[in-house]
Amino acid sequence: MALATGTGLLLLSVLTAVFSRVLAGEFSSWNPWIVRRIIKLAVSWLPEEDRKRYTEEWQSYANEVPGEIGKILSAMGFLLAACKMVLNSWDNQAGLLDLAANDVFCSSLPAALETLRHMHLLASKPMESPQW
Amino acid sequence: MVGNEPRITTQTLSVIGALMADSAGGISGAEIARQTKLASGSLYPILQRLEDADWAESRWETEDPHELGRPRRRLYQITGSGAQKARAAMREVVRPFGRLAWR
Repeated sequence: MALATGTGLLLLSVLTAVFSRVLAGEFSSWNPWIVRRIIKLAVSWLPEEDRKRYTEEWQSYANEVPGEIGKILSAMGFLLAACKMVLNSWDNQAGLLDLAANDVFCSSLPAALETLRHMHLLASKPMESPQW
Repeated sequence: MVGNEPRITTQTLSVIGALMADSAGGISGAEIARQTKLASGSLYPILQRLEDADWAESRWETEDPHELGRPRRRLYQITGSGAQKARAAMREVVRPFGRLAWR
Protein backbone atom coordinates (compact mmCIF):
# COMPACT_ATOMS: atom_id res chain seq x y z
CA MET A 1 0.00 0.00 0.00
CA ALA A 2 2.81 2.36 1.00
CA LEU A 3 4.70 1.46 -2.16
CA ALA A 4 1.63 2.19 -4.32
CA THR A 5 1.11 5.55 -2.60
CA GLY A 6 4.78 6.41 -2.98
CA THR A 7 4.77 5.47 -6.68
CA GLY A 8 1.57 7.45 -7.18
CA LEU A 9 3.06 10.52 -5.50
CA LEU A 10 6.25 10.23 -7.52
CA LEU A 11 4.25 9.94 -10.75
CA LEU A 12 2.13 12.93 -9.74
CA SER A 13 5.18 15.07 -8.99
CA VAL A 14 6.80 14.11 -12.31
CA LEU A 15 3.57 14.95 -14.16
CA THR A 16 3.25 18.26 -12.28
CA ALA A 17 6.84 19.17 -13.12
CA VAL A 18 6.33 18.33 -16.81
CA PHE A 19 2.99 20.13 -16.94
CA SER A 20 4.32 23.28 -15.26
CA ARG A 21 7.26 23.28 -17.66
CA VAL A 22 4.87 23.06 -20.61
CA LEU A 23 2.71 25.77 -19.06
CA ALA A 24 5.73 28.03 -18.51
CA GLY A 25 6.78 27.51 -22.12
CA GLU A 26 3.27 28.33 -23.33
CA PHE A 27 3.13 31.42 -21.14
CA SER A 28 6.51 32.51 -22.38
CA SER A 29 5.48 32.24 -26.03
CA TRP A 30 2.12 33.94 -25.47
CA ASN A 31 3.62 36.71 -23.33
CA PRO A 32 4.68 39.13 -26.12
CA TRP A 33 1.21 38.80 -27.65
CA ILE A 34 -0.48 39.45 -24.29
CA VAL A 35 1.74 42.50 -23.66
CA ARG A 36 1.03 43.84 -27.17
CA ARG A 37 -2.73 43.40 -26.65
CA ILE A 38 -2.69 45.17 -23.28
CA ILE A 39 -0.63 48.05 -24.69
CA LYS A 40 -2.98 48.27 -27.68
CA LEU A 41 -5.94 48.51 -25.30
CA ALA A 42 -4.24 51.16 -23.14
CA VAL A 43 -3.21 53.21 -26.16
CA SER A 44 -6.73 53.07 -27.60
CA TRP A 45 -7.89 55.25 -24.68
CA LEU A 46 -5.43 57.99 -25.60
CA PRO A 47 -6.08 60.76 -28.13
CA GLU A 48 -5.55 59.65 -31.74
CA GLU A 49 -2.40 61.76 -32.20
CA ASP A 50 -0.62 60.12 -29.25
CA ARG A 51 -1.37 56.49 -30.05
CA LYS A 52 1.50 55.77 -32.45
CA ARG A 53 4.05 57.32 -30.13
CA TYR A 54 2.94 55.48 -26.99
CA THR A 55 2.52 52.14 -28.77
CA GLU A 56 6.19 52.21 -29.71
CA GLU A 57 7.37 53.82 -26.48
CA TRP A 58 5.54 51.39 -24.22
CA GLN A 59 6.61 48.40 -26.30
CA SER A 60 10.17 49.59 -25.83
CA TYR A 61 9.58 50.02 -22.09
CA ALA A 62 8.08 46.53 -21.71
CA ASN A 63 11.00 45.16 -23.72
CA GLU A 64 13.40 46.49 -21.09
CA VAL A 65 11.55 45.05 -18.11
CA PRO A 66 13.09 41.74 -17.00
CA GLY A 67 10.89 38.67 -16.55
CA GLU A 68 7.66 37.60 -18.19
CA ILE A 69 5.43 38.58 -15.29
CA GLY A 70 7.22 41.92 -14.93
CA LYS A 71 6.42 42.71 -18.57
CA ILE A 72 2.74 41.93 -18.05
CA LEU A 73 2.60 43.96 -14.84
CA SER A 74 4.21 46.96 -16.51
CA ALA A 75 1.80 46.61 -19.45
CA MET A 76 -1.08 46.61 -16.98
CA GLY A 77 0.42 49.74 -15.47
CA PHE A 78 0.01 51.37 -18.89
CA LEU A 79 -3.76 50.87 -18.56
CA LEU A 80 -3.65 52.97 -15.40
CA ALA A 81 -1.25 55.44 -17.04
CA ALA A 82 -3.58 55.88 -20.02
CA CYS A 83 -6.54 56.57 -17.69
CA LYS A 84 -4.54 59.14 -15.74
CA MET A 85 -3.20 60.76 -18.91
CA VAL A 86 -6.72 61.18 -20.29
CA LEU A 87 -7.77 62.71 -16.97
CA ASN A 88 -4.69 64.98 -17.10
CA SER A 89 -5.72 66.34 -20.46
CA TRP A 90 -9.27 66.82 -19.20
CA ASP A 91 -7.77 68.70 -16.28
CA ASN A 92 -5.96 70.98 -18.72
CA GLN A 93 -9.22 71.55 -20.51
CA ALA A 94 -11.09 72.17 -17.29
CA GLY A 95 -11.12 75.88 -17.99
CA LEU A 96 -12.92 75.29 -21.27
CA LEU A 97 -15.24 72.78 -19.60
CA ASP A 98 -16.18 75.49 -17.10
CA LEU A 99 -16.88 77.78 -20.02
CA ALA A 100 -19.07 75.14 -21.65
CA ALA A 101 -20.96 74.63 -18.38
CA ASN A 102 -21.36 78.37 -18.08
CA ASP A 103 -22.78 78.45 -21.63
CA VAL A 104 -25.29 75.74 -20.77
CA PHE A 105 -26.58 77.46 -17.66
CA CYS A 106 -26.21 81.11 -18.60
CA SER A 107 -26.40 81.30 -22.34
CA SER A 108 -27.57 78.63 -24.72
CA LEU A 109 -26.96 75.03 -25.65
CA PRO A 110 -25.58 75.82 -29.15
CA ALA A 111 -22.94 78.07 -27.55
CA ALA A 112 -21.95 75.26 -25.19
CA LEU A 113 -21.72 72.82 -28.10
CA GLU A 114 -19.52 75.27 -29.94
CA THR A 115 -17.18 75.50 -26.93
CA LEU A 116 -17.01 71.72 -26.70
CA ARG A 117 -16.21 71.55 -30.39
CA HIS A 118 -13.27 73.86 -29.79
CA MET A 119 -11.98 71.49 -27.15
CA HIS A 120 -11.48 68.79 -29.78
CA LEU A 121 -13.04 66.38 -27.36
CA LEU A 122 -15.48 65.39 -30.01
CA ALA A 123 -13.07 65.60 -32.93
CA SER A 124 -13.40 61.92 -33.74
CA LYS A 125 -17.18 62.03 -33.68
CA PRO A 126 -18.43 65.12 -35.56
CA MET A 127 -21.40 66.69 -33.84
CA GLU A 128 -24.56 67.46 -35.67
CA SER A 129 -25.93 70.94 -35.26
CA PRO A 130 -29.11 70.80 -33.20
CA GLN A 131 -32.32 71.59 -35.06
CA TRP A 132 -34.26 74.18 -33.15
CA MET B 1 2.17 72.42 -25.67
CA VAL B 2 2.76 74.71 -22.74
CA GLY B 3 0.07 74.15 -20.18
CA ASN B 4 -0.46 74.41 -16.46
CA GLU B 5 2.45 74.06 -14.09
CA PRO B 6 2.77 70.47 -12.85
CA ARG B 7 1.73 69.57 -9.33
CA ILE B 8 4.88 69.14 -7.28
CA THR B 9 4.58 65.83 -5.49
CA THR B 10 7.36 63.64 -4.14
CA GLN B 11 6.94 61.41 -7.19
CA THR B 12 7.23 64.40 -9.52
CA LEU B 13 10.32 65.55 -7.68
CA SER B 14 11.94 62.13 -8.00
CA VAL B 15 11.26 62.13 -11.77
CA ILE B 16 12.70 65.65 -12.06
CA GLY B 17 15.69 64.48 -10.02
CA ALA B 18 16.32 61.61 -12.44
CA LEU B 19 15.99 63.97 -15.44
CA MET B 20 18.35 66.51 -13.91
CA ALA B 21 20.90 63.86 -12.97
CA ASP B 22 21.05 62.63 -16.56
CA SER B 23 24.15 63.73 -18.40
CA ALA B 24 23.81 61.53 -21.48
CA GLY B 25 21.42 63.87 -23.29
CA GLY B 26 18.28 61.88 -22.66
CA ILE B 27 16.95 59.11 -20.48
CA SER B 28 14.33 56.50 -21.31
CA GLY B 29 11.11 55.95 -19.36
CA ALA B 30 12.28 52.50 -18.28
CA GLU B 31 15.52 53.96 -16.92
CA ILE B 32 13.62 56.69 -15.04
CA ALA B 33 11.36 53.98 -13.59
CA ARG B 34 14.42 52.01 -12.47
CA GLN B 35 15.97 55.05 -10.81
CA THR B 36 12.83 56.37 -9.16
CA LYS B 37 11.23 52.97 -8.42
CA LEU B 38 8.00 54.31 -9.90
CA ALA B 39 5.59 51.99 -11.67
CA SER B 40 4.69 52.65 -15.30
CA GLY B 41 1.18 53.65 -14.23
CA SER B 42 2.53 56.56 -12.18
CA LEU B 43 5.52 57.52 -14.28
CA TYR B 44 3.94 58.31 -17.64
CA PRO B 45 1.23 60.68 -16.37
CA ILE B 46 4.00 62.62 -14.58
CA LEU B 47 6.14 62.73 -17.73
CA GLN B 48 3.11 63.89 -19.71
CA ARG B 49 2.44 66.70 -17.22
CA LEU B 50 6.09 67.76 -17.31
CA GLU B 51 6.06 67.81 -21.11
CA ASP B 52 2.77 69.70 -21.23
CA ALA B 53 4.20 72.31 -18.87
CA ASP B 54 7.39 72.53 -20.97
CA TRP B 55 9.52 71.38 -18.05
CA ALA B 56 10.68 68.35 -20.04
CA GLU B 57 10.98 67.41 -23.67
CA SER B 58 11.35 64.10 -25.42
CA ARG B 59 12.70 62.70 -28.67
CA TRP B 60 13.24 59.31 -30.24
CA GLU B 61 16.71 57.84 -30.06
CA THR B 62 18.45 58.17 -33.38
CA GLU B 63 19.76 54.62 -33.79
CA ASP B 64 18.02 52.32 -36.24
CA PRO B 65 15.73 49.88 -34.34
CA HIS B 66 16.56 47.12 -36.85
CA GLU B 67 20.24 47.44 -36.04
CA LEU B 68 19.49 47.65 -32.32
CA GLY B 69 17.19 44.62 -32.52
CA ARG B 70 14.64 46.27 -30.23
CA PRO B 71 12.04 49.03 -30.39
CA ARG B 72 13.30 52.61 -30.28
CA ARG B 73 13.47 54.33 -26.91
CA ARG B 74 11.88 57.67 -26.25
CA LEU B 75 14.44 59.82 -24.46
CA TYR B 76 13.39 62.47 -21.96
CA GLN B 77 15.36 65.56 -21.05
CA ILE B 78 14.74 68.49 -18.73
CA THR B 79 14.41 71.85 -20.49
CA GLY B 80 16.33 74.96 -19.43
CA SER B 81 13.21 76.65 -18.11
CA GLY B 82 12.12 73.35 -16.54
CA ALA B 83 15.39 73.09 -14.63
CA GLN B 84 15.02 76.67 -13.36
CA LYS B 85 11.41 76.15 -12.29
CA ALA B 86 12.26 72.80 -10.73
CA ARG B 87 15.02 74.39 -8.65
CA ALA B 88 12.65 77.14 -7.54
CA ALA B 89 9.98 74.55 -6.67
CA MET B 90 12.55 72.53 -4.76
CA ARG B 91 13.55 75.62 -2.76
CA GLU B 92 9.87 76.16 -1.92
CA VAL B 93 9.57 72.58 -0.74
CA VAL B 94 12.75 72.71 1.34
CA ARG B 95 12.20 76.19 2.86
CA PRO B 96 9.72 75.19 5.62
CA PHE B 97 12.01 72.37 6.70
CA GLY B 98 14.96 74.72 6.88
CA ARG B 99 12.98 77.08 9.10
CA LEU B 100 12.01 74.15 11.28
CA ALA B 101 15.64 73.14 11.66
CA TRP B 102 16.73 76.60 12.84
CA ARG B 103 14.05 76.92 15.52
